[in-house]
Amino acid sequence: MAPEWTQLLPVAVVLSSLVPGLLIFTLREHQVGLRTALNLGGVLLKLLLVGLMLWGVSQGLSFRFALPFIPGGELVLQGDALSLQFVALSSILWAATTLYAIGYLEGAPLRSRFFGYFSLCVSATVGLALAGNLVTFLLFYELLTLATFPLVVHRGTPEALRAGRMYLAYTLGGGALVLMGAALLHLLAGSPDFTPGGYLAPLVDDNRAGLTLAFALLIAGLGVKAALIPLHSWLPKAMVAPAPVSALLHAVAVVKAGAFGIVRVVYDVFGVEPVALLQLNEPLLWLAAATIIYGSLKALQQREIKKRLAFSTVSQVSYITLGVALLGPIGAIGALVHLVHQGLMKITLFFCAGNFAETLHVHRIREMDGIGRRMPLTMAAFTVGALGMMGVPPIAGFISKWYLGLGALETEYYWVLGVLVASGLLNAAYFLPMVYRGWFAPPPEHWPEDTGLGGGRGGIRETHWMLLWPTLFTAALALLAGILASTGISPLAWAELIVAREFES
Amino acid sequence: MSALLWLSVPLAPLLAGLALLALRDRATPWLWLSCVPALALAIWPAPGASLGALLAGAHWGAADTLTRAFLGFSALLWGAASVYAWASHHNDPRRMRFWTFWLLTLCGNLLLIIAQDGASFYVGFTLMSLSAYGLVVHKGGPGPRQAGRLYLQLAIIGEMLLYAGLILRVHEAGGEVAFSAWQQAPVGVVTAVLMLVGFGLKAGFWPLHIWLPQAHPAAPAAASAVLSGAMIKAGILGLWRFMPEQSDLLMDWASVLFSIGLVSAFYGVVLGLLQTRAKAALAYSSVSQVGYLLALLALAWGQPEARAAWGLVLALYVVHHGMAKGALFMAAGLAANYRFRAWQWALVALPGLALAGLPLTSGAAVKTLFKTGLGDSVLAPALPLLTLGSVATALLIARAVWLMVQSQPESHARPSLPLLASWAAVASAPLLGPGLWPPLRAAWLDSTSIYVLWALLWPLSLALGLSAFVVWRRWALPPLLTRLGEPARFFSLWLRTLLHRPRLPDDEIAKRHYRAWRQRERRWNRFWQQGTVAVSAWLLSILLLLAWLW
Amino acid sequence: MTLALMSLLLPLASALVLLVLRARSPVLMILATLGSLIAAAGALYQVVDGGEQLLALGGWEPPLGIRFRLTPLSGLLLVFTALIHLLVAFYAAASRHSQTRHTDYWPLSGLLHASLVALWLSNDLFNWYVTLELLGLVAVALVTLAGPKAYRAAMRYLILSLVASLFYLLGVALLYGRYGVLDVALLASLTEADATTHTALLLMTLGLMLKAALWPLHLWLPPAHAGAPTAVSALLSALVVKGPLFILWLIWSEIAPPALARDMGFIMALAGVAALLSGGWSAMRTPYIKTLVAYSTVAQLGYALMALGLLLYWELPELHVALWLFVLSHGLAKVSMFLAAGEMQATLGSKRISALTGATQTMPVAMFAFAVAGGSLIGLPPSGGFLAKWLLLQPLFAEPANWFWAFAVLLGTLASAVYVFRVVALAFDRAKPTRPDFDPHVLAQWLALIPALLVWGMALVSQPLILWLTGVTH
Repeated sequence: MAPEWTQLLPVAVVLSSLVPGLLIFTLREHQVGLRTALNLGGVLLKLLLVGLMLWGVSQGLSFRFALPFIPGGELVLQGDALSLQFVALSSILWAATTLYAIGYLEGAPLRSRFFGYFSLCVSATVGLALAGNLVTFLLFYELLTLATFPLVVHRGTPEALRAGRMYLAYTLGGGALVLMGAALLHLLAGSPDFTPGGYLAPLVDDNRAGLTLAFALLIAGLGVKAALIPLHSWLPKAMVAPAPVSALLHAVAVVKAGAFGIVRVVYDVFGVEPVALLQLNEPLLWLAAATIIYGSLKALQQREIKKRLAFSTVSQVSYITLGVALLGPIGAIGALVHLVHQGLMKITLFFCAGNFAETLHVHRIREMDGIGRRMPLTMAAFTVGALGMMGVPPIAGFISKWYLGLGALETEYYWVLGVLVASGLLNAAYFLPMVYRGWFAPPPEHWPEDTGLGGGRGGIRETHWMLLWPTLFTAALALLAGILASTGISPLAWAELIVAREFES
Repeated sequence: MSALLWLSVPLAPLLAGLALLALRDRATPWLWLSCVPALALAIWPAPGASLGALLAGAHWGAADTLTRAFLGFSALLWGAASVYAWASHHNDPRRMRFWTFWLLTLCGNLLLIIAQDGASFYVGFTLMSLSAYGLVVHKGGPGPRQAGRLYLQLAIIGEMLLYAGLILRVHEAGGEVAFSAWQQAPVGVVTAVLMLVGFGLKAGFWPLHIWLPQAHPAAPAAASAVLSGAMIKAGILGLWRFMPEQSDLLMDWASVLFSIGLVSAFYGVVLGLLQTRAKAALAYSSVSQVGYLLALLALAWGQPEARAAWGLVLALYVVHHGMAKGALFMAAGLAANYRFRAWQWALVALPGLALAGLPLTSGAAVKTLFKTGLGDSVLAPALPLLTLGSVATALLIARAVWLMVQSQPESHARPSLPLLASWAAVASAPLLGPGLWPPLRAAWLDSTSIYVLWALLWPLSLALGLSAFVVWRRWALPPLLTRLGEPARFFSLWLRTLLHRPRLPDDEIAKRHYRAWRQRERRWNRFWQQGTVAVSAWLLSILLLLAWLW
Repeated sequence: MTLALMSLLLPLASALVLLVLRARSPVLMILATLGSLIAAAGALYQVVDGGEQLLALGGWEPPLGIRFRLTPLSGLLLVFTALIHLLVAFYAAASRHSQTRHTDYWPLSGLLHASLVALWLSNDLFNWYVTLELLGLVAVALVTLAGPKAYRAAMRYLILSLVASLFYLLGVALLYGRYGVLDVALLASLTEADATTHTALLLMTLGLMLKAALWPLHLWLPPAHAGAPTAVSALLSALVVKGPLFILWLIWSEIAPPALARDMGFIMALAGVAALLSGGWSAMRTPYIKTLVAYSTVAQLGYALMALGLLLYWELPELHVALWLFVLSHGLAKVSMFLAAGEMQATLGSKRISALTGATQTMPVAMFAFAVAGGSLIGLPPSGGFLAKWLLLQPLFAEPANWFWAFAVLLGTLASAVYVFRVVALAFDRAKPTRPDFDPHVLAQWLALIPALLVWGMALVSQPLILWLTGVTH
């Protein structure tokens, strides 16, 4: 029996970046054209396939591919609404980042290796998104760890090495915890497909201790990647990676994988009611709230652009966890939509930081004085991202905050609203000075080092076009996701669709 | 169709921004056109339209008098100020930045007026608040920078409080965002406090005014005009819109809020008199006038049955004060650069005296209406305070005009025609307004009886007499009072340093510990490596012995 | 059964031929190993198809004669042994740095192969003694191939190996005196829980533990395995220590009285945990590449010991599968790891881990092999190590009272992650890479990679493999 195309599509989506990635490994350094063609070909193919799958899912088709793996746990790739949201996000941002990385690394050594691992990283992310059960999820979760490590240490400097070691120590530890949790659940219930509403409800009465331990293990393991305190320290250190890697790390791949995992575990493995019965959501809520505040406070203390952005990620990603832990449908919308929105805004910010560093060698916040006159478009994109992070309407971040706030009230966690307000204030406190410096402070006599990329004039030729266009593209997406939030094509609409499916059962 | 019409109101400034980007300096003389759709819709309102496609629950329109009044006067003031700004900024090297923020602020201001739901209002409000920062700091230098910092800090705090209030309000209204729903939904204590503080920070009544006297004088004249004339009213409009029509809570609070309003009215005057710059005095006058607006709001909440009447007074007061204060700020800007002729001094004095209730102006009409309403309410004992307020306002205006006279330059430059025309258009509003706007005309007619005229005139004469006396005796302020510290600025700096606390130094002790530990480890390893066979033999014997015992 | 005997005789005969001719031809040995592999595969097919087979050597039936028994598991082990020998033989023949190209490695490895096959096929205590003795001697001889520097380690190995054989022999003698039979199947039906049996079993266990380098009797292993030539290290770690483990497994799960087995199981499991931790710790701290790999063997044997102990303690048949999956996946992974480590050590010219700085640049394939094999040791999905660990974890979570063991596994996993990735992370340091002393040898690196790929390839057949093993082990 020949398999249906709906069975093969999830595999094809994963392979569309995996195969080019493996091919790129075999290329020699100077084969720039072929490498670029492979990269972009993979990107386009993936976008096409994901588009097809999005269409299919909205038509109610189901995409499922299964391989036997261990007794009671197949390897399953499936496209449901939730996974598609993450897949679409990662594919689109991967496309932007690939273009950006090609421009960023022009002339740098070891590009074949970089792009090879880069593609592997995205394949693992997409696989993780499409994973249909906990075992498969675990598999891709570990692969992601491994594929990202070479990217983190790509520069090969002692500092990068230190960061890489720290990254590995945390994420492999986290992976081990997830393995433990998954094994425990496998024993209790096998590893059936992720089910809206969870599949553990019948077990709650008899296995309270087991389920609680499994939840703790899984959340601790996923919390490493999602950078929940006290497991977040690797993330700011990992900032030594090249800008496209940081962008991908923070917006899509690693951090989001953790957050996405938490979403999966709470909604599709445990289910809302068992979590509430076991009283597991409140500790999670407190943890997320503490992370939000702590991340912002640490961000205030940073003097480097990327470091500050990194701590901001620590804070912002926990919004997702916060929304999930609220356990209400509105909070869930906030969490899911923030998964996308944070990605769009944060990737923009990192692109901008990369542009500043590449074009003018500006790394520290102090050096941003007057950069808006030299690079107005990049600075405008930065402003959109920064204001969005603060939750200023009509940028995407506002939509997230709106739903998170309403979700908190819906489930009567009034103090969460206070957390959101405090976080907004702190966000303003560390983002606005950067925006101020960029636009209003007088520019210096000369920049740290003006490489004259693109043409060296403010405007459309302010830097290499491959660096500028992705930045503007993602900034525009962040803005449009907010302005067009109520239309059918927005991330919000899709999040509502997911939540409707999750909470109807 | 009507959706498109309403969309054109906030979109016009954005399109103007695009034109600015494309045409640069050639576009600036025509930027005032971006206020035309707003003005047209204020005069001939289209039915409200839902824009759910943009923002869930968005509904825009201008059905009631208050909205139309707001929209009309804002469009007029912004339009005139745009011309004024063009005429005064065409040599400014950073004019493009100025115009960008100008148009964004305008967009936000218009949007929040036509918004008939909380979400759209918040979008406009935020856009306006944040963009206005660019106007405040435009002149550059330490003064505007510090003022701007304070402005922004408080604006952000206000934003966040409003965000919380907004979310709570949506929750209280059962998920609805439309103002029509909010008017019926009861308000909680926390929500009310958040709203009052959040909007109060924008409106600038005592004690939330601290940024206002810093920021408004720091901005260029055109920007000060719209800041004081149009933007601070957004706080009042927000309070009116967000709070329910009838609420026991607000009814209980009404007298307290009324008192705060009056304190603000007098406090503004007292501090304004101590100022040495005309624009600072005018800014304090705004603090004082917003106090009256808060008092009006409190009266409306205290007497829900008379809400419609108070709404009318509020609308009239807002328009009257907005135009007058706008004109005064424009005048202050001109007075510092050009020598005025006598008739021009008359044009300076007209809006000023109108604020104090000069008979036959809009001020007289509004004051009379206010007093009549107050006299019918439970707070009637406060009536004499209003009269005293007129005296105080007149004194402050006299002080401001006196400071303008002092600031006249030596040169004999004369203002250009667009500057004069835009200023004159705004400044003549207190006289022309009653003729053009029916609701104001009705109130104006009520203020023309002899008795009322006398009641209006004597406080004014008293104040002018006092002022003349002071000038004649050459009394000056004691220097100590003019150099009062500015606690707000200290607060702002403190906040800044707090947020820039340096990083903690790294811990060096850990390294020493590690070295000691490493030595112990070496010794341990050496012990085991010495004799593999011997150790294994020992282990075997011990294990055997143990097994034997077991 | 003939095929199984072929699998035994081909390497034995070739080894003898080589010894007699004083020849050191790799080709003959590789061909013999290949033949042995094919024969083993055939034997496995037969036994899966037709069930267990018995062969009485020389026509004498037990209790007088000795009897070979081919079970599905021993069939699998035959294939496994031949496969590993083949892989290592390719490397030993191809690599310039194997120290074994033209040495007595070839006949000795044939003998080693033959004695292992005999061990898997044997089914009585004395036969095992013979094969163990042979195994130990050949192994020591192989270690000495590395030259005078390895003599010290080889000497210790020899002494302890002889002591271990002695212990084992004592135990066998006691049992024979008590029951008069040596065949496992016969003994299983006879044993009683008396003092003699206890003493005999304990003596045998101590001997086997010493031979298998199970904690705390593992002290000889790291110097011996690290000092041996690369190809030999691979064989020793992957196969030789598994022989005694096999015997240990059989005597405790078949012969020993259940009550004693339960007590012993608990102790074994504890020893396993200790092995995991102490081996892992030493591997984390050692500054030498091959010593790290050797200590990792100590740690990984801890998993096997833990599985064995717990299956005795709780009488859980499903842990048999975990045990044997550990053996298989560890064998393949360790071959790859030793070959890669040895190749890198020889090319980069230093035994120290710090010499691997920048190895991803200079020797990418070998480093990749090391990392991939390490991934299996850590238990990253979907490698063979993951499957084994997963199966081991399942019963550990059944009761909250058992969570202690799961915690031990977690610690072991973390330790293995640390020692694998301390090497890998260093290899990514591009700032000051160690310059190779020789041109890196690409073919040898690829040969090192193959076993690692095989162990990850186990994922492809994982479900059938697990189900089949569940069926055959009990």
